[in-house]
Amino acid sequence: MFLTRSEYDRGVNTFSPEGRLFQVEYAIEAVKLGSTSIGIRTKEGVLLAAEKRSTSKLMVNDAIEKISKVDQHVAVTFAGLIADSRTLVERAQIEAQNFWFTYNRKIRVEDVTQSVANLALQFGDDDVKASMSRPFGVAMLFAGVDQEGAKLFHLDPSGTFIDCKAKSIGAASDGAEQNLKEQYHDALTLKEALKQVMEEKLNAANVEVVVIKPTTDEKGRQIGQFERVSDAELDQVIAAL
Amino acid sequence: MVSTEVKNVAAHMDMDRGGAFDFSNCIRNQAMCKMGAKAPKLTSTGTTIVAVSYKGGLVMGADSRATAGNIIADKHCEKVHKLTESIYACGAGTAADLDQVTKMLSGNLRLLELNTGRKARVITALRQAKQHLFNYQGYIGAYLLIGGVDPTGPHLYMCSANGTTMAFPFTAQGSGSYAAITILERDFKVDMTKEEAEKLVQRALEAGMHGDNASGNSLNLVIIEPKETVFKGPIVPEFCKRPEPNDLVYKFKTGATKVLKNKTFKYDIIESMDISH
Amino acid sequence: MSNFTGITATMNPLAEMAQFKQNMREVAASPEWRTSKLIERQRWNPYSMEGGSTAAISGDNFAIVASDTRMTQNDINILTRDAEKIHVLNDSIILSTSGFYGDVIQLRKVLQSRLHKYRFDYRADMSADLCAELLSRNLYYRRFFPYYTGAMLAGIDENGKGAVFSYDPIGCIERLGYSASGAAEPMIIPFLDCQIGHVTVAEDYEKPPLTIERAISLMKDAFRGAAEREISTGDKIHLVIAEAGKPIVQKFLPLRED
Repeated sequence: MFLTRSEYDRGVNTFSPEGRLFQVEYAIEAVKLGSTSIGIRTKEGVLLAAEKRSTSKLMVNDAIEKISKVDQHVAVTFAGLIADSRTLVERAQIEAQNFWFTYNRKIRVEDVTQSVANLALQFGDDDVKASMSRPFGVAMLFAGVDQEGAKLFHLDPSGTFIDCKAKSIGAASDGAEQNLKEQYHDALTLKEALKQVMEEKLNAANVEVVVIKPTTDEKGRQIGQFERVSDAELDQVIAAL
Repeated sequence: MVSTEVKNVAAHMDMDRGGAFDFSNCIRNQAMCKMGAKAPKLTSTGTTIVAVSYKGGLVMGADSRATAGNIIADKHCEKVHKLTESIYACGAGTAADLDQVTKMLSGNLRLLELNTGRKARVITALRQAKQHLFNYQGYIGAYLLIGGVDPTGPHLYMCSANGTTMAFPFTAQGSGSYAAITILERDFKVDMTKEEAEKLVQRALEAGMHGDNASGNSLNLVIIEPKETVFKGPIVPEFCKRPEPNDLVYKFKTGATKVLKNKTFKYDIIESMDISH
Repeated sequence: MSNFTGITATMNPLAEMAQFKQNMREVAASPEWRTSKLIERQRWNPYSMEGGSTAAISGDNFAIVASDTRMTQNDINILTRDAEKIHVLNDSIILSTSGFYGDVIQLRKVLQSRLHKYRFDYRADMSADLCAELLSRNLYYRRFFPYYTGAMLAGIDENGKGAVFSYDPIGCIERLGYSASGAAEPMIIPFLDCQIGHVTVAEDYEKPPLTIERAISLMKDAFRGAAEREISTGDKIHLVIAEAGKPIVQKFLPLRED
């Protein structure tokens, strides 16, 4: 890709003669610089895990939040330019609340992903309609449980989103994904999934885990419940490895 | 003392008191409303009444619906009132007023006929009605069509609640009058036959009953001629009939009503009485 | 004197007379017909009522909506005998309305456009449950200049059960077994209360189950009865039947026209 670098990689709305939008491709590259995140879908719910990379001893590790709550039943993790993710997470939160306000019902995970995907492509260098002048430099994993069951969606900076059983994004995603491919099976439990994401060198300080477990709302419909896995529980799992 | 003071204030009122009308009670009524009195509510009742004169006679007719608000209070009320053997009145407006006014008129006209030994004239009935209604300044809500045949020929008059009267060869009154008038204006001819006039009145009434919510159910006709008066009705037009019967039968078997309490009273019969006669 | 119940008898008669004289002076100085109070009363009224009635019954796997087709001006004058008061919004949602017909048309348009957009946004037809909440929101959105409608939403819900939702003009929503709205509402509701709700009959009295056939018959009879005694109800019954797993059926039956 870098061989064909030319003046075409500067404009966000100009295709190269080979039919590529370089800025979008570079944005996808930016994702690979971010710390790793993993999502696994199981029968018992969905799990998101994120590596918290601390670059300095002086950094307060608790201040980093790599998994955000979108609604009671939806969580999202991201890799890449963290600042960009804030805009997208906020969009997801607003969309979820809007849907709930209008229909008195929790939004589906796919629909909240769709709405963020719509935003991902609203860039351009004309400042009339565009909200961003460049593509967002983050990939996201949306996890949640709605009426249809446990869901996991991967969204990349091009606005493409894919339904996944398990997915990894960020710096170590290739290795992690290889691992997931080997280990994943349909009967996976949440506990097994949790063990799977916890490899060596991990401790409660440098990993963040969220699970969404299925539950029912006041009208008996299936919905998810967002739960952060506590440091104590994490330590337990790590000790058992 | 009190009244003079009030009167003095009233005299200062800048109101049009010229002519025959005195509206000073408007001020008093408003002051009473300020004291908390509630103004009486006015009722408007819907009706279609029609009358048409023809060669040598008169046909009058009315629908039979009485309404209270948007509810049909009476499906078969009588709006064609007999004043004398050959004078009839059809009424629109407040039902109670119409009953009382026509009763009064028929009584007075009967007395007149007995005193004079002659048949009363239509104009007499009209004069009595308008003088009575004018006295009450429109508060008696009776809108009448008075018509009949007397030695001077067939006559048809309209008398409104405030005492205004007019003479017509044909006319309609009530909320259905707009629909009825359209038929009359199109098809009325001078010197129709009895059959033509009767058909015309019936069609005009049906137009009123069809196009006006407050008219309907059935119609009554009276055909007045010097020799005889024929009353026809109730006639139920096709569109006033229920097109389909009910699907279900709504009869409750014994035991449908909840018994809340049971109490037995015991009586001692002290004396019996024969009530068989 | 019974007319003047507003005057309190506890007041001191002398004080009352003084008050009355004071009122006379005030009224004479500025009679009501010269004040803004009267002018205000003659102001243009943005609402009108076009009469007619609608009713809805929900059963285990069906919902039935009916209305008459008469449209009336000022309670008296018939504008049309073919008014559409029931609107089929999609395969499972039926909107039925009474009240101000201008607002009815607008409300229907708003819902139709929202349903249309929903198909694009969420790639599925909106369910009756969601539409019910959406309608509530849309009505409350106009809290201080409401749509003057007595709306009801009926259809088959997400679980395949019959559903009837009833609203007030500003969006108070209630899911009911049966409901009615419009001019003959005070007549139809007690009838349905007796025949479906069985609120007046003893517990041990035999109550017929609410089959779709019985519900249709009750609905027809309710309107036949209403047309007998309510002046703005008549001409035709518009009957819309939704049954789970079947397409919506629409029927017209004759009513008296007077």
